[in-house]
Order: sequence, then C-alpha cells, then structure tokens
Amino acid sequence: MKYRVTTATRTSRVAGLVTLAVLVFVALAPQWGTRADLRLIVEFCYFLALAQMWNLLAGYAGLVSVGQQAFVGLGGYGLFVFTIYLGVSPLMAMLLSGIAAAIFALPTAFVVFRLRGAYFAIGTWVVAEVYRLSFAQVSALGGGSGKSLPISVIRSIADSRAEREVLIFYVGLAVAVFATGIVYWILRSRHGLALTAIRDSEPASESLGVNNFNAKLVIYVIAAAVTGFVGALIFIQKLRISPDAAFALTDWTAYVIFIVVIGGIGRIEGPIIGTIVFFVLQEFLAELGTWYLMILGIMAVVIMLKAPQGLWGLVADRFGIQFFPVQRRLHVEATRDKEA
Amino acid sequence: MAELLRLDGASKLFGSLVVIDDLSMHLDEGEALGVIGPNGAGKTTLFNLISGGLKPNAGTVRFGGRDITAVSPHRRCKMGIGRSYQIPHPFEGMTVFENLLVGACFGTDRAEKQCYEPCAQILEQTGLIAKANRLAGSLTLLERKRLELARALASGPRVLLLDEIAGGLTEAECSELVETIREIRTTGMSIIWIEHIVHALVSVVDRLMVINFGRLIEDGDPHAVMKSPMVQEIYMGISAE
Ligand SMILES: Nc1ncnc2c1ncn2[C@@H]1O[C@H](COP(=O)(O)OP(=O)(O)OP(=O)(O)O)[C@@H](O)[C@H]1O
Ligand SMILES: [Mg+2]
Repeated sequence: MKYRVTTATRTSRVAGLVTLAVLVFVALAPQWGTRADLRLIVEFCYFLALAQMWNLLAGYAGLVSVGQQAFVGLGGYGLFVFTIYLGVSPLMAMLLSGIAAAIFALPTAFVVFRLRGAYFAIGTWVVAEVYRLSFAQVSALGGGSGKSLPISVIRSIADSRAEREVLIFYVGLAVAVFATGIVYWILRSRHGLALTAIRDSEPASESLGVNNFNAKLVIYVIAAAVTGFVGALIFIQKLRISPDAAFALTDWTAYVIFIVVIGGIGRIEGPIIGTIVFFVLQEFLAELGTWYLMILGIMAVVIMLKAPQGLWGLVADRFGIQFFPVQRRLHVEATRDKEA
Repeated sequence: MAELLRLDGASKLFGSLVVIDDLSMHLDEGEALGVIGPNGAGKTTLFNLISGGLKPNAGTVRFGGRDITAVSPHRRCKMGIGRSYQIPHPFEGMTVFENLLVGACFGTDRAEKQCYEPCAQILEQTGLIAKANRLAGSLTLLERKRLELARALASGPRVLLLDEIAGGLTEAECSELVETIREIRTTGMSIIWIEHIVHALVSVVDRLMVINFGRLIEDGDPHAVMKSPMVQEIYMGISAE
C-alpha cells in the first residue's frame, strides 16, 4: 500500500491565480487611483490585517480577546516614541513598534492567560484600558489630548505628500498580504495542526502531546506583533495620536470582531469576505451615524444565530470550496483506492 | 516483568467529596489490566490522575521508574501515556486522518511528513481507512470510539488507557472492537481498560481490578475476582463467561 498526502485542490489553484491578479491590479493603484482611493485601500488593508490576527486568536487558539486595541495603541505610540525621541527612521520605527508590542504581549499574557473564557475576554479589555489610562498620564506624549507627528518626522517619511501616500500605500498592502500569508503558513505547518486541535478540544489536544499553553502563547505574541505594526501604520497615516484614538475598543476590536464573525470565524477567507462586506456597508450606511453601528450589531447577531460559520462558511460548505486549503487529504494508492 | 506504572496512596477530592481514596496500584510492562466498578466509583478520575488531567491531593504517580506526579499531561503523553475519553472528544473540524496526525506529530515529536505512513497504517488497523478524509464531526458513535483508540495509538504510547471504549455499542460492534484491541495486544502494548461490559473485558485482560467508592476492593485473576463475594454483591448476577 502506498500513501500520498495532498492539500491543494483545483479551485485553490484557480483561486491562487485570481488572488495574484487582484493583487497586481491593486498594487498598480497609484497609477489608476485617486488619493482617496489609496487612502481607502490602506484602511481596507489594515482592517484585513487586524481581522486576520483576531481570527487567528479567536478562531484557532480559542483566545477571544476584546483587548487587541492594546497592541494597536502600543504600536501607534511606539511609532511616535521611536521617531520623535529616538530618532529612528519611520519605516524602521514601524518594525520596532511591532516588536515592542510583541514584548509587551508577554507580561500581558502572563496576566490574562490565567483567565478562562469570558474572564479572559474581560481581562484583555481591562489590560487595554490600563494601557490607555497609563498613556494619558505621559505628558511627553501629550497626555490625554495626544500629540501630532512633527513636520521633521513627516518629511523623513518621504519628501512630497504624494510620495508619502504611495509609500504608506505599499506598506499597507504589504502588511495585509503578510498577515494573510502568515496565517496560511502557520495553519499549513505542524503548528497549525496543534492550533486547529486546540480549537476543537483542549483536553484532547493536551493529552495527545500538544503543549496548549505554549501553542497559544506563540500565537498571542505573533498577533501582537502584527497588530502593533498595523497600529504604527494607522497612526503614520493619521499623523496624530491620542489615547482615546489609539486604544479605541470600537475601532480596533469591535469592528474587527464584526468583520470576522460576518465573514466566517476559523477560516482564512472569512476576514477577507468580512472586510469587503464591512467596507461596502460603510460606503452606503456611514451617514446614518449611530444607526450604522446598530445595523452592524444586528447583522452580527443574526449571522451568529443563523449562520455561525459566517458568509464564507455558507458558500464554502455548500459548494465545498476552499481558496486557502489547509486540509491534509490522504490518498491510498495501489490495491484499494475507493475511499471517500 | 518490569513495572511500568505505579500509584502510591493516591487520593483525589472534589471539595469534600472523596473520589479516589488512598489507592495504590501498579501495571507491568506488556500487561493488560481491566478496571470495573459501579457508576461514579472513580474510574475515570483514576485515568485522569494517570494521564495528568487531574493532580492528586495526596500520593504519587510513577511511570517508567520516574515520579511524574507534577508532570503536565502533554509531557506524559510524550513519555508514553496514551488515553481515550469515555465521551469522545474528536477534533470535529479536522479530518479523521488529521486527528491522528495531531497525536503522531506531538505525541512522538516527529516531523509531519514522517507521520503520514504510520497514521495511515493505524487507520487500516482500526478500520477507519475508508473514512480518512471525512470530518471527524460527521462520524457515528462507533467510528468516534474507534477514532479515540486510533488517535491514542498514533501518539505512540507505551500504555494505552481505554475508558469505556465499547460503551453504547451493539453486541456486534463490541466484538469487532474487542478483535481490534486483541490485535493491538499482540504487539505487546500495555493497556488499562475500564469497561462495564464485563465479558468483553474478561476475554482480553490478564488481571482485573475492582474499584468502589474510590477504593481498590479486588485485584487479581479476572475469573477469581468475578467470583468473589464482594463483586458478586455489586455485580449481582452478571457472569464472567
Ligand atoms: N470535575 C469534577 N468535579 C466534581 N466532581 C466530579 C468531577 N469529576 C468527577 N466527579 C465526581 O466524582 C465521582 C467519580 O467520577 P468518575 O467519573 O471518576 O466515575 P466513574 O467511575 O468513571 O463512573 P462511570 O462509570 O459513570 O463513568 C462522581 O461522583 C462524579 O460526580
Ligand atoms: Mg467514567
């Protein structure tokens, strides 16, 4: 008997080509798009990256965090600290901000990993609030009212405004691709097996040799690093930071949860579909103000009740398609080859 | 025969409820030990003490000559303690094959590719090969029980802890499973098997242990144990044959 294991499917190969084509088209946006288009794409990219990270945490590692704004804020403030006070170039400062967020994730994990389920969620939120209140105390960073990026630092990104916008655009595109890619890579690796097992049953994965604690910690730190980098990106685009904007629960976690739930939790495609839906809704409903938030909330609740697998889940389960296949399929060759 | 596993004066309390009460037991390398006892006697709790899911309030657990009382469950698995759950815990969103891969990759610390062949063979052995690519969530009860067994085997155990692996199965399904376990035994695998279906148990094990209220009340040759007055009282009228 010979055995063979595959992951790719025909649809996934087609999907790979389609993804590539879309990426090339988007990458040419500085040629075809207006400044508003570029801005919108950058926003799309950072929400997609945040959603991929939240999905990795909640959809796989079972870490339902409502405190990811902690890392957005740390990354955002990291950018200001590294560029203004340590004279680091903006791009390098963004990378360092991601690393700083990862370092902060370790003591944070030490606190919140002792908590389970709902207490974990509340714990992450409390920690994020502690960070917000702490930064409001730092007068060098503008205290509660915040701080703008000095002209000298803005100039050091690139000379002209147009060049700056193009540079930020490519960084945004890169982080979205990176976030999606790293999730895909993790899930296809041995570590992905452990994570998926943890998602489905923690006692069983532990008794099959998986170190649940370490597997989760690694994911928590990776998510913090990417989220921190995205935080730096967000505030290099906004050019101004304040504790309330940096550690905003609604903007950096509630919207992100909405995106993942709508798109499909525990699937790589979920955040992509969710981000598209989120931006379409925003386009048409943003004028409604508070009503807009209520509509988002109601949609999320209806999806959770009626289709917990999300919009992508509905499509994928019905037609059996996976754009980013992670399932390992066993093929038995020779003598009997009639398996399901 | 070398001693593989040993509990000394182990006790486990939930609040004020004593579930395992100063229990000592041992298992030799290559031995098959059966465990019976009424519902709530503490059998599953005993497995949790051995596999590390629960820590004893008193006493020690030794495995392969080492004191493992403070060792975490995943490390005990790597040392060679494989278990199945009374209520199956399949990884529902993963395929049957992937369920085994988890055990093989992490239980034996091998690269993923090196696990494909052994996992496929275990699927053959446990009669699950035709379901290899099915999601574990879609399996029937018998298949789930088989998966519990297969997954524990994939983790490369020196001792296999089976918790009511035949519970809830039909007579025919049960004897199929007994055949599979017999076959596994031919490789010299040590097992501890909790089962209410006494005749299935007695047909496989070398030694039988009876637990009641967390205490060891009988331990010895399966047929002799089943004939003892204490066991007769608990298992009124159930014959060993
Ligand atoms: N986590 C727990 N917390 C509190 N009590 C528990 C816990 N686990 C088990 N118990 C109690 O401990 C006792 C022994 O349970 P255990 O599951 O070990 O019994 P068992 O012998 O496996 O029974 P069965 O044959 O029904 O499976 C029962 O009274 C049960 O209610
Ligand atoms: Mg039990």
